[in-house]
Amino acid sequence: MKFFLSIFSVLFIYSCNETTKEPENESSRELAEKALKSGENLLQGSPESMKRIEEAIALDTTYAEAIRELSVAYLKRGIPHKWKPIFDKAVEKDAAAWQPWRGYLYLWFYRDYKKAIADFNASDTLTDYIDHPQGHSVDFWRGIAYLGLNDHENSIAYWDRHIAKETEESGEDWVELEAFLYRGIAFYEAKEPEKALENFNKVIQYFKQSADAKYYKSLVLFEQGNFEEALKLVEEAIADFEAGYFNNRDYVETLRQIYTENLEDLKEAILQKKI
Amino acid sequence: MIKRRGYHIVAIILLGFTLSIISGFTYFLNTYQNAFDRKHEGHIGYLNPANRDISENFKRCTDKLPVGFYHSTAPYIYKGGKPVFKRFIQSNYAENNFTDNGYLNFRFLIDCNGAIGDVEVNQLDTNLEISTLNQDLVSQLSKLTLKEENWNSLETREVRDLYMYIIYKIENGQVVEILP
Repeated sequence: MKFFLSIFSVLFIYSCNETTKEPENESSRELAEKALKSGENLLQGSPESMKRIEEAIALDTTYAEAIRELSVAYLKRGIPHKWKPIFDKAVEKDAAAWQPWRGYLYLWFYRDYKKAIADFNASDTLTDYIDHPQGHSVDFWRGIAYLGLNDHENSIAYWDRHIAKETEESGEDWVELEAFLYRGIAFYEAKEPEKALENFNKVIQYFKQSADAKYYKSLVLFEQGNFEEALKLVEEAIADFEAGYFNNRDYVETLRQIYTENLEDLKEAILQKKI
Repeated sequence: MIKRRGYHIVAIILLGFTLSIISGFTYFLNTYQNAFDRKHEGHIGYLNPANRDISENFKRCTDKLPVGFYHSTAPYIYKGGKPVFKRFIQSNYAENNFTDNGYLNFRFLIDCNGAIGDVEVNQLDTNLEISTLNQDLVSQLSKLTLKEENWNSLETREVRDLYMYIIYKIENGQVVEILP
């Protein structure tokens, strides 16, 4: 027991020392970083959180991360005209860090595919590496943005590039399933059903439950007249969908998002032909 | 004797561990509840009834943070699902040779009785800056969007209003995207 008390006392004294230590010759950036960090646990968009971020920016007006943080609540609450000037300022202060991010936000929150692509393209020269805003490469996001523009040729070209790179570096089984799914959709919409099937099969090969891959595969087979297999797949897609295995995003609808009624309509169409 | 002492130490550790989990959980729960049990006024996204664009006879059920204050109540709020809402808009919106490009943004509350109010309307150009769109276009989409029949009333543990926003992307007068 004494032993535990001793450890506790040491930890207590140490923690007191840490919190009472005075900053010595800290730069404005360090002070601003501390101010921003101290508000991390505050409710985003609350008066005290916004005040803390503003304090951080006042300490260092070039602190792009804090400026970006100030914009986030406007983005999430659906207030585009207040989000935009703040985020633009973050890009102005540190384009290498935030321009690819702005592309990601244009893509999903405002579906401005052209502006998104322009920002992703800019990142090609801003940094000498491939940027990964929100965890995926700019090539991945360009694949989606070009699909949003119905520019299937460019979409497929970026998916090819992304998938080849990921495969070479980590192996095909490490490639995101969405990459195969969206390349498949791009081929399907470009009227290349066989290549579309190859991609949907990849998704199903690496992850058994995917309402989207099975829905699109069923659609291709239905259009090819293979009603038996199409029906089996759409029923599996419905089960996967009900179990929660479908492509979707937080905050906004995803591109080419499927819903129960897409699946039910396809099933109905197959049954009509099958009879 | 040594064995018994060992049991005591294990018991003390387990007790300490359990107490820290309980106190941690209680602290977290209180903090979490307090965070959402606050007044909406002052938060980003607050719709002040004093200067709303559309707010006839609307009164909130509570001044606390509405459900969905953080990023809207989509997708659960669309009655019948988002495809139903999309179809409703697309089939009832008459383009009337509009040529506008930009965004039309509605932010509003649905009170605990299903009434819609405290509506903010923002007309934006393609650069997301405040602009002016064709007033017939705005009026049409306003009437269609703010129909009570479009929206679910969600069950809440205590009396709460609901927050929702809609962004229409307009290209050459057509609605090409409905967000979120």
